[in-house]
Amino acid sequence: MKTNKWAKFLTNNTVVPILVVILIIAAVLDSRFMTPGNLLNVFNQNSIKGIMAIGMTFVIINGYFDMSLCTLVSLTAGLSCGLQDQIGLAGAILVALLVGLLVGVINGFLIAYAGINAFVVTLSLMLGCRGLTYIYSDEQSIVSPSMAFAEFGSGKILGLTYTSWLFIIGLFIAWFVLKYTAHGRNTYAAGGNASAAENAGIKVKRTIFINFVICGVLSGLGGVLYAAQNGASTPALGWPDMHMLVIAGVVLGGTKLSGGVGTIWYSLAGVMVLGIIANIMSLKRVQSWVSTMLTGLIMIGVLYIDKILTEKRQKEGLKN
Amino acid sequence: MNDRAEKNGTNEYLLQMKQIEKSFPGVKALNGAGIDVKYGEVVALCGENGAGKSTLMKCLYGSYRADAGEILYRGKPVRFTDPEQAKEAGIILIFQELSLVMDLTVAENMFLGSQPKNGIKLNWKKMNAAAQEVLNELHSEVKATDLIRNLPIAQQQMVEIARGIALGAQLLILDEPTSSLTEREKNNLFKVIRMLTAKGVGIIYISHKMDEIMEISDHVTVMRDGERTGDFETKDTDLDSIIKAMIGRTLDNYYTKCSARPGKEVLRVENLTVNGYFRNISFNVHEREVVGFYGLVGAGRTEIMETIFGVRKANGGKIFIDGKESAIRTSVDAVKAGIGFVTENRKEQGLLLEKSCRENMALAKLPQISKGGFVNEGETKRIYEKYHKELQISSPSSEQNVVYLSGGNQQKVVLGKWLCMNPKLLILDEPTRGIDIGAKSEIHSLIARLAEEGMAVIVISSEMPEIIGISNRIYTIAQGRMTGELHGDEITELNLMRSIAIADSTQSA
Repeated sequence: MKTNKWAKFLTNNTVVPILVVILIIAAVLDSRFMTPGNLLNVFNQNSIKGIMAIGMTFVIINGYFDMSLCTLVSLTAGLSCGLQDQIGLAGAILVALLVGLLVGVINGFLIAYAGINAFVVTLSLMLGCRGLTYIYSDEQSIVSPSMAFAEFGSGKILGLTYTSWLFIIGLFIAWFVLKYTAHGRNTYAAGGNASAAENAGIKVKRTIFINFVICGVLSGLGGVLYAAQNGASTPALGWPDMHMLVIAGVVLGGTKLSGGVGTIWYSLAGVMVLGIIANIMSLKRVQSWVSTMLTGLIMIGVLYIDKILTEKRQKEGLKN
Repeated sequence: MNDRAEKNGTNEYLLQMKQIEKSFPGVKALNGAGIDVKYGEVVALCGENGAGKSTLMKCLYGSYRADAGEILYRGKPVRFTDPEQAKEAGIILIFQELSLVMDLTVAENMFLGSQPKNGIKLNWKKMNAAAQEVLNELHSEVKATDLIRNLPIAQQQMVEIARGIALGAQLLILDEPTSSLTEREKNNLFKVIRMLTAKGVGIIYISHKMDEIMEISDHVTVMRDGERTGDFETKDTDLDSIIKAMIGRTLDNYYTKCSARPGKEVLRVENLTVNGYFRNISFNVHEREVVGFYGLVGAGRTEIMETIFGVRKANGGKIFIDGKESAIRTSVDAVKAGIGFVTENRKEQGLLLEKSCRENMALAKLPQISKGGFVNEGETKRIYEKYHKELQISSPSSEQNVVYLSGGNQQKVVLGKWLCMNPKLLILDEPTRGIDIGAKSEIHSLIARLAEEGMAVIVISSEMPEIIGISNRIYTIAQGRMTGELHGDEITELNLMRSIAIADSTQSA
C-alpha cells in the first residue's frame, strides 16, 4: 500500500525522479559536485531565474506565457543602476519595479481585455523594452554608484545569498497564493477550462490580467537583482533567451504549457534541474555552447518521458 | 392544452412559462411556446431538432430575452437578464457538453467561483466536507478529492448535478443527459432524479429518447416549430400520441428525389463493428441511389462512415466496393477508390477558411495536377470555372477566401472539391446544417441530380423532413445498432420515429 502511494506520487510528479537521476549522474560524473559548497552555489546561481520563474508559473498555469521578460530584465537592471545618481538607490529600485509592473499591466491589458494574441503582445513588449534599454543606456554598461547595492547582491546568510532567501520566501508566498486563495484556484480554473470558469462566475479576464502583472513585477525584480549581483548592468543582459530558459524551467518541472496544471514546487525543481546540468557542464569544462545544446536535448527527452507517463496515467484513470 | 396552468391552482407550480415569443432576424423561433413545472415534478420537453426547445430554455435562463410572454417562477414574475441571476434563483442548466475543469478536484469544481473562505484563505477542509456531503446524499461513489480527469463521464455528470445541488438548485434542466451513459449509469441517474423530486426539486428533462421519457417523466410537453403543441400526463398517454404531436407537419414539396432506377451495387458493408461506437452494421448502396441514414446525434452514424472512409479502424466486419473486398486503410486509399466524404463540420474538417475558393476546390486533386512538386495553376482555375458554374456558387471571384462566403456557398465549395475527383460514392454528413433554406433546396436537387447521373450517394441527416424528402431508401441507426430499413411508402415520419424509439426500449428492456 505504501509503495503504491510512492509510485503514484512519482508518476504524478515526474520531476522528482528526474531530479534524483540528474543528481546521481552529476555526483558520479564529478566528485566535486556533491559538496555542500557547490550545492549552495547551484542554488544561489539560479535563484534570480527562480524568482522570475515564480511569476512565469502563474502565467503558464493560466495558459499563457510571457516573452517580454527577456529584455525587461535589462531595462530594469539599467534603470536601477542609472537612476541612483538622480533619485537615490531606493528610488531607483522603486522606479525599476514600477516599470516591471507597468509592462505587466500593458501585457495583461492587451491580452486579457483587448484580446490580442499573447505571443504577439509579449513579443512586441520584448522588442519595445530592448529598444528602450539601448536608448536609455546609450548602448553602454552602467556601473552602480552605490556600494550598498552590490553588497546586497553578493551578501550571504548561512551560505545563501540574500537573493536566495528572497527566492525561498517568494516560493512560500506563491505556494500559499496558488493553493489557498481564490485568485490562485481561479488561475487553475481559467487555464484549465476558461469557459467553465466563466460559467462559474469567475472573472477570467481579471485573473489573466493579475497574473501578467505578477509576472511583470517579478521579472522587473529579477533585473534589479542581476544588477545588484554584478554591481552593474549591461544592455545585453537577458538577450536573447532568458525568457526561454525561465519557461523551460517551469515546463520541465511539469507545469503544462496548455494551462491548468502545475505547482510552484515543480518550477523550483525544474529551474534546479537546468541549474545542475549547467553546473556539471562547467565543472567538466564542457564548452558552454555544447552545454546549451545538451540542455535542449535533455528537455526533449524529459518532456517525452513525461508525455508517456501522463498517457499511461490517463489510461489507468479511465480503467478505475 | 395551453391552459393546463389555469386549470390547476397556481401555487403548486414551481415554474410557468406562458405564450413565449422570440424572433431572430428572419425567423420566428418561438411562437406561443411554454412549459409548466410543478414542485417535485419531472417534465419532459420533446420536439424535433429545431423545434425551439433550447431557445425556450435560453429565454428562461437569461441567455435570450423573450419578446413576449410571461414567466412565473415560484409564483412571481421573473425576467432574468443573464444566466448568473437564474443560477442565483436556483435554476441550474446542465448542458450536454459538460462544463468542468479537468485538472481540479471534484470539490473545487463544485464550488468554483464560490469557495468557502476564512478571510483570504480558502478553507479546503470545509469545502471538501461540504462537497462530500452532497455526493453522499446522491449515493455517489465519487470522492470530493478525486481529480475530474480521472472520473468516467457518468461520474463527471454526477459532479455537475452535485454542483447544482450545492448551489441550491430548485429547478434542474437536463439537456440530453443520457447521451453518453450506459444503461446502469442511466438507472443511477434516474435514481438521483427521483431522490431530488422527492425533495421538491423540479426537473425539465430534454431528450429525444422516448423510452426514457416514458420512464422518468410525470408530464410531457411537446413543441413543434416554436409552438407548444401537446401536453400529456405520462401515465395516461402512449408513445404514438406524443410522436404525433411532435410531427404532424405537412411536408413541403421543395425536396427533389432521385427518380432513376438503381444500378449495380457500389458499396456493401457486412457486420461492421467498431468497439464502443457501433456493432454488426450491414447495408448496401447502389448506383443511381440516395441512401439516407437517420438517427440521433451520437448514434454512431458518422463513425460508420469514417470507418468506411479509412479514418477509423474496424474491429470486425467486411466492406466491399464494386463487389471486391475493400483494402482501404487510410483516407488517401478511400479517395483513390473513388469515395468522397463531405464531413459534418465543414469549417473544421472540410475547408481552409483563409484560402481562396479555387485553392480549396483543387485541394483533393492536387496530387493529380501537380508536376515535380509544382501545382498546375491553370488546371485549378479550370476546376473552379467548371464547378462554379455547375454548382452556381455565388462568389465574386475565384480568389475570394472562403471564410467570407455564406454557409451554403461554403458547402458548395466543399462539394466541388469532391466532385472534381469524380467519385462513384459520395458520403454527405449533415450536408445542409447551418445553411439557409434557399441554398438547402439547391443542394438537395444537386444530390438528386448526381444520383441520377450515376453516383451512389449516402446522406446522413438529423432533420427528418430532409432525409424523407431526398432518400430513396433509409436505414435507421440507434445507439450503434441498425434498427430498420425503410423503402418507398414506408418512409414516413411516424415509422422513422418508431424505428429509433423501439430500439431504445428493446435495449433497456
